[in-house]
Amino acid sequence: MSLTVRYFAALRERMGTAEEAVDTPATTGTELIAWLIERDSRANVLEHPSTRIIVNDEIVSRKHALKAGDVVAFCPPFSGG
Amino acid sequence: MGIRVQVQSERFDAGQLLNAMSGTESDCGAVASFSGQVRGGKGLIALELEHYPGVTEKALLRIAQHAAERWDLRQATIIHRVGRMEIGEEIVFVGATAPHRRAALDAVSFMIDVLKTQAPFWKKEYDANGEHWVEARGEDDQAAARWLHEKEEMSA
Repeated sequence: MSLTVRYFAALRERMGTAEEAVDTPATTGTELIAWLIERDSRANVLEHPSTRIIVNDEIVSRKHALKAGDVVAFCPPFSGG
Repeated sequence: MGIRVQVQSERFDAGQLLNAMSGTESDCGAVASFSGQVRGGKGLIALELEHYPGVTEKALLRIAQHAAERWDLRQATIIHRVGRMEIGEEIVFVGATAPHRRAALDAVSFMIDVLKTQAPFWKKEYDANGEHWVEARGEDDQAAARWLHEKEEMSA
């Protein structure tokens, strides 16, 4: 299915892009991470437990079921304030 | 109940924001606020703050709403800057008004503690050696967990 994947802060710099459209068989966050790593090993940082996933503006767990058209954002730990 | 949250690159005047919150409700005996600013030292030259437009604002709104549900407040305000900031410049303002001081003080502590771990902001530091992303601090997680854990106990 087609997804929009976004990367923020250190993850954006690591992946070399802020946003990309992907067509993937992945159906969960965990599967999407595995698929991205297989495509490009630089994505291995996404596996880090501190990486948060925001799907369509909501923080979700890696088991969250993805559907076509979702916007999936990978975020390093927050450091505001 | 007035809630105001804003993410902006422009500088703000914390004194002005505090004045705007003061004296507006006759039943309010307390106005409390916290201002965060860029701390110098360790060769720091400047900070750059990044956010997730739309999502960050929603997260701040949710934090202010949680504070308003938990304490008897009249106003809750969170203003957070993004972009580049020099040493001494303001980063964040959190304010609350309430009939009584404990509610105002606790609500302000809650909002800034929870903001640090629940709102998508990322800080990059620039120093003489270059630039690097600031890593989340364990003590920030603990400060936020204190409030969130208390809440679970309250609702149990």
